[in-house]
Amino acid sequence: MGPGPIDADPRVLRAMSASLVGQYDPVMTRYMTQTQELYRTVFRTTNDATLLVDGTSRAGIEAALVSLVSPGDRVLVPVFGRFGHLLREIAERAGAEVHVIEREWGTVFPTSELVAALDRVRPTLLALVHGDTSTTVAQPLDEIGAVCRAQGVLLYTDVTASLGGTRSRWTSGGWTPRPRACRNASRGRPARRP
Amino acid sequence: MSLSERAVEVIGRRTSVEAGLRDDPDDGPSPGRDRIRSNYLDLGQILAYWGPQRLNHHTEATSMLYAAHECARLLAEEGLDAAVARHALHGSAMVAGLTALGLTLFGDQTHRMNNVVGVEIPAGIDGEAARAALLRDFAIEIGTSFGPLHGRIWRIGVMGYNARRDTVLTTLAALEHVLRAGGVRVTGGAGVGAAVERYTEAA
Repeated sequence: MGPGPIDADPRVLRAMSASLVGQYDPVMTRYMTQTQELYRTVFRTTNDATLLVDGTSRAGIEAALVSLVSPGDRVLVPVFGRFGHLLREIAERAGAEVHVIEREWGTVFPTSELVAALDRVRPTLLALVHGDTSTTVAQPLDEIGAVCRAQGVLLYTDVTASLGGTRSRWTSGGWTPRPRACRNASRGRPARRP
Repeated sequence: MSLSERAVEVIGRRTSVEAGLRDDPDDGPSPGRDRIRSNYLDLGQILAYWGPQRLNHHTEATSMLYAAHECARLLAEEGLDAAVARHALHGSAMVAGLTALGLTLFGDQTHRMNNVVGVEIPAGIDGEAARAALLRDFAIEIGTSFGPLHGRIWRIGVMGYNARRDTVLTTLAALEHVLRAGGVRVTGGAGVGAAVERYTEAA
């Protein structure tokens, strides 16, 4: 009953014990295509670019940030637990000019605080944890996607620990997450460059 | 993960095709372009592998793909709303049980995650010794937390395959025993009783 990793469903363990096939075996490529479609269902998205990044959730987080963020880009990271600090670290390593706002662990940001920070920082990308297991609270995301989209800010959301568990749909069309036991995302408009 | 079209556009401006795979020499990195610094985590290259082009990048981790495929099938069969409702139910039963054991929940409860519950380690209890006893005597693992919360709270997951009535009730029974052994005054059966009551209300 830990906060992850946890016992896997026996069906998953059985699937993992199946024989391996070649990388371009039609069975393999069919599984890849099916997996993309299944995760569109899980994320409730029509995004064509729905895929797996091999590794633990941190591989996916790093792939998103290192691919989306150019050195010198302004990135806003609201931190309300350990995993916000992780987003900050990865964005810094990607060469971003990182702006952090912080809240006491165990609390979340009112949307108005996020909006005020967006107005002040004018970032290229907002990197925001949804459910932070270090504090066991989840940041409300309802309106923030629409705000980011209107301002031309990319939104990256880490739903590693919340997908399929804490929230099943995100309204206002302003998000896009990523898979597995639970996962992350990115959405909005691209960045105006200074 | 899932990426919007706009995100894919941003990535597309920064990605390139690896030498040895290029049909067009212009597909390589150009000096003016801000090249993605990682190869393994270059989402442009990963997308080209997952897309109809099937352009080789890493070799997909086969067993991991099987697992991710089956995880998604399980979620799709259950239904996303039903899965979230299941986590909400068992999370709330765990909360009811912990509260009845006299423990104090951690964090803003209006924004509590369904699938993990934070609870303060009661005064007088050695949190790590209690975790070790749960694991040794009951084969039940619970977590502590990080940084400022390390040793201050326990984190009890009610996640995925573990979000079930039997796991919630067994954990509460075991925790009651460990708390009492550590000198905390608890009412016998209070945790399990409150959780069962929660299940009855919800039925």
